[in-house]
Amino acid sequence: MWAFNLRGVKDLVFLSTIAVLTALAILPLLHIIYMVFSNGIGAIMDTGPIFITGTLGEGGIGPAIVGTLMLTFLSSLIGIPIAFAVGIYAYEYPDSKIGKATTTLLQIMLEFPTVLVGLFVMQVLVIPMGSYSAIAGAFALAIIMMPYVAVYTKESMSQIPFTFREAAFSLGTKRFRALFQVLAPIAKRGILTGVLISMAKVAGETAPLLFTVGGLYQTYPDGLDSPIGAIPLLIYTLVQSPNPADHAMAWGAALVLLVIFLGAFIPIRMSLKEVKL
Amino acid sequence: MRYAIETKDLNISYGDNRVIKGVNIEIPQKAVFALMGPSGCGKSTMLRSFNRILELNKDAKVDGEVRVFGQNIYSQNVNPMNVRREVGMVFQYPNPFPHLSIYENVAIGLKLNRLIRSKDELDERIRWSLEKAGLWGEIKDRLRDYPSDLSGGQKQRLVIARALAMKPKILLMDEPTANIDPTGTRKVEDLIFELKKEYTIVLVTHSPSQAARISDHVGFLYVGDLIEVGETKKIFESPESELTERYLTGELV
Repeated sequence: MWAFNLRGVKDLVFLSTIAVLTALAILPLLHIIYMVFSNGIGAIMDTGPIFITGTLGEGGIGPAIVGTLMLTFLSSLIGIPIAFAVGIYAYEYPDSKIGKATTTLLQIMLEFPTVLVGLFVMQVLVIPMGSYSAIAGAFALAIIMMPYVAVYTKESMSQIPFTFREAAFSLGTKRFRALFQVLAPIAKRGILTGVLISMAKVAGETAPLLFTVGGLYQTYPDGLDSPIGAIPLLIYTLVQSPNPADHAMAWGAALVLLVIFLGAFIPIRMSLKEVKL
Repeated sequence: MRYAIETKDLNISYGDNRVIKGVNIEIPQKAVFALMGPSGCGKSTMLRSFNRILELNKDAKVDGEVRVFGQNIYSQNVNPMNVRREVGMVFQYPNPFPHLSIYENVAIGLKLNRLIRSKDELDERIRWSLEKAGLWGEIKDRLRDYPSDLSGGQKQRLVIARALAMKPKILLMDEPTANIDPTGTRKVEDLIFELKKEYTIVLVTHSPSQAARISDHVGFLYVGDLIEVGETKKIFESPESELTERYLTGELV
């Protein structure tokens, strides 16, 4: 009887420890979301709809919202197809020299300081072009998103049971078709999760944009080769100002960023069907 | 008589480990040939050399010849993709593609290889394949469903239909009933019996009783050596080798 109780007590202690640690880990996240909502909602309410549509002069962050959407879209357009192909390559030829080098390179790039990516793009695009531009920002963000997409692609592909690989090839299919038309769709959910995470990541990036996009908040952007703004960059700029009104606006912008992020991420993530094996 | 498959001094190794040791085997057409032997004797490996699917395993090395209808499939000018279209395969774990509907599962080989011209022709071929696999009656109203709801036996017959849709001449089956229940097993075995009228079937099994039930010829493989080969009836009634006898009586596992 005594032994049984001891086991029960151990179980309880273990479970409650895990519960407390989990709560500790989630608490800061919930706190951030709470802070952003409580501080941001006031700023937006005070200004009204103009906050979303107006330019900075009118008290709004419209150009920054458009900028973030454009930069995310453009960088995805550049980064995702390349990264997807790289991920498939690293999965298919893991033992080849290029395959091994790619895997190592991707791991380094995942943790690469993003500010250095910004500096690099400034050197190769901004200085030769003579101006900050949307395309330079998108290029910098593409470099940051590619390793996420590639690593997620490779990992999700690697989790496909070998028997499906055999089945695909046993139909006399070319390697290219087996990979892209049979196996990649099986790993769809994992690959798309990587795509979403990478898009969320670049939508929230500040450092790579510091030396590349210039920032444009008084008018809406008018071309890919001219400066553009972004919400995180605007927040960074506003917070540095001594004016409390600017701080309030930064909170409002933070709330908009959070809503864009959650509004895009949660529905897409939930609508992705798991492929039942 | 021309054989469906012949091997000449077939050797297969994984690195330094030789798993098939100089096997010469002749597999007659339009009959069921069972490769039997205890687990790990190399029978699945040997089966996979008959359509070059073994090449997916980078460590595997094949020496010697495998002739499919007289043509050595390991000679330089042979494209393994063409071999695989002629030699279909069914696996130990029933593996219809989980992300494709029942219809799409049968259609995928034809679509990927651009072997079909019109939608009508495709519908026709899918119905034909599912009928051949004895599955049409059970699932004709569920063609758009996903295979995850099918029973193990139905999944395996769907995989057989997927292979048949390519109109192969030979079907390789790697322990096709190992992971399905007795009812499903019986249906698959009945189907194999039906299919041998038109196809050459090479079946790997670790169960001597299954070999006895459905095969016309049988080869006994033990640790990479082909111990004995011949008509099923003859081998089961009067095996020549003592090893075969011990295997058939259940002493070798």
